[in-house]
Amino acid sequence: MNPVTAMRLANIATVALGLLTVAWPLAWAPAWTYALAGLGGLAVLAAARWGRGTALAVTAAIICCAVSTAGIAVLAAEGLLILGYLLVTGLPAGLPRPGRWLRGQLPLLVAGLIAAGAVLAAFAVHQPASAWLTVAALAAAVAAYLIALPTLRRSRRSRP
Amino acid sequence: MTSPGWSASARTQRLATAALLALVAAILTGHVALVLLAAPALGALALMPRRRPGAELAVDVTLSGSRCFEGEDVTITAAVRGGPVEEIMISLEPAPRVTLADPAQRVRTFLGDGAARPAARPAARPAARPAARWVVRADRWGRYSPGAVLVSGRAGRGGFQTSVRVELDPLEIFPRAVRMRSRLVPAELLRRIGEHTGRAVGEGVEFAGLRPYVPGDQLRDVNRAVSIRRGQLHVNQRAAARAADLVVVIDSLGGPGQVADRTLDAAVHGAAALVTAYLRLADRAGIVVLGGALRWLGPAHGMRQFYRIAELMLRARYDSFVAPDVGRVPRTALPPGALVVVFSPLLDPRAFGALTDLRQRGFPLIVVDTLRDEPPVSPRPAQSRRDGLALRLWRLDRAATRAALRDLGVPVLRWDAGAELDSVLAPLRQPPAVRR
Repeated sequence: MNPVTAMRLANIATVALGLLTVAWPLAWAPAWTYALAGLGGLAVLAAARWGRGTALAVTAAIICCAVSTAGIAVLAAEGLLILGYLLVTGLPAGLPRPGRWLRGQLPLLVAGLIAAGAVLAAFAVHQPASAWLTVAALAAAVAAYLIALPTLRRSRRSRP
Repeated sequence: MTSPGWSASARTQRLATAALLALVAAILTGHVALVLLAAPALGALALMPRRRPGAELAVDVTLSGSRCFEGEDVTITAAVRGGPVEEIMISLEPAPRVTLADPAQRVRTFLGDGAARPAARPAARPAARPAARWVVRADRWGRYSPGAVLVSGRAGRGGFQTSVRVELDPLEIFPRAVRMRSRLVPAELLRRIGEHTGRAVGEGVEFAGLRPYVPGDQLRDVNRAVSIRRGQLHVNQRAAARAADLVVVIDSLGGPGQVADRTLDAAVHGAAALVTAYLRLADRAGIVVLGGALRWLGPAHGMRQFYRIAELMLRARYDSFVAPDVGRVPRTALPPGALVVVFSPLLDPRAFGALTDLRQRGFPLIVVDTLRDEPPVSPRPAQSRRDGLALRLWRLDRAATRAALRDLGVPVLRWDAGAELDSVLAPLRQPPAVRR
């Protein structure tokens, strides 16, 4: 395929994915969110030239979801749509073969899928409230913080 | 030039923002299921490496040349080395006066697999260095940078990014000289062999007259028809072929603006055409730039002199508040008998003073009026009357300036847009009177 045509198709697909991300929760959302979704749609269209358009569109989608009555399956799909849209908007210009770049993003999408599946699985388990669970969660948070922090320090130190 | 360092990419920031927004929404609304919006983004963030890439990007940019003429192609090459980079985007930001030959190739992206491969396991075969090549065309003379090369790289599954901006070295773009003939010659030519027909009798090719034969004359000069008719040997006389000195004066006085730019453009192009035409004929050419600090170059011959003049012309655009003193122009810059052609918009009174001074010093002057614009008239009726009156006064003032110059014996030629300089100077071309 001609590289220019391929890039054009990829850009069209990005816009379509963005519009789908914004429109997806509208079926379960109140009527006033349509205006917000409209703004989100405009932000999607403007995102090609305006960098903040992407974040604005995702914000509109999240607000629509927050006030909607959508179930967990719908929200999980919306989460994946948001991830897909955010990944695809990073498509660099001037690529001769966008397909290769898109294939390179699959691991991130799979990671997102696994995370969504983990949360869905957690929702499926009805765990009674427990102090031990709270302590375990806090410990996990502190451990994650401690693991992450030295990396940042190292990288700061290594800077000239 | 090397990159300043790696930072979190826009993608990382967007993913983190989306996750944060979803979690805040979940807390504010008490709707726990909203965590599902954040989970995929957090999962993707978790997959990205937390350690910044160690190596930095280095960019080597080269230009095919540092000098060119208007409209000529210049090739810019940018090569990137270093850094385990997944994506490298090399783009050219051309300067406003520069045209990219193929605008579709402005941005070039290269995909690598540097970050995916551990450092301990190097590639079996080193990958080719990402490099981009553009052909640009400088549309306007001057000394300026053709643009900048922007290189941005992403690593760590797009989690980190870096960028380098390399300003390109300035190019010297010489004005393109149109072809014209150097038929304009001063009354007094130099005592040096050239290609112009002089007044004196000499060893040229143009017929100058007849005279009786004297011992020592060459036989090939004998005019047989006249000798038979008069019964006495007569020989042909030929006009001496002499060289001329040309000094071009560019008036770059006046404030900055579009009109001043256009007049200076016309002056520089006219001067380049004239100088080229004379230098091609073994004449000597020099230049004086009026405007700010006085700059000059004494007449000399050869194409090397053209480049020296062109370099001086590039400096004609710099603004300065220094009033030039024409009396400071040395004799070497304005040798006696040199034909002086002045390209001036005749807007600045200092230029008029300089012309008067030159004329009083006895130089044969020709003024080419490079002003092609008139002050605009407002379309509003109330103001258009006043503007019209002002325009009439302005025209009268210019006519008076031209008349004053003519009174001094300085012809003023108007150079309209679209006209060739050759045709503008045509009325002044007269065959020199040959001394018999």
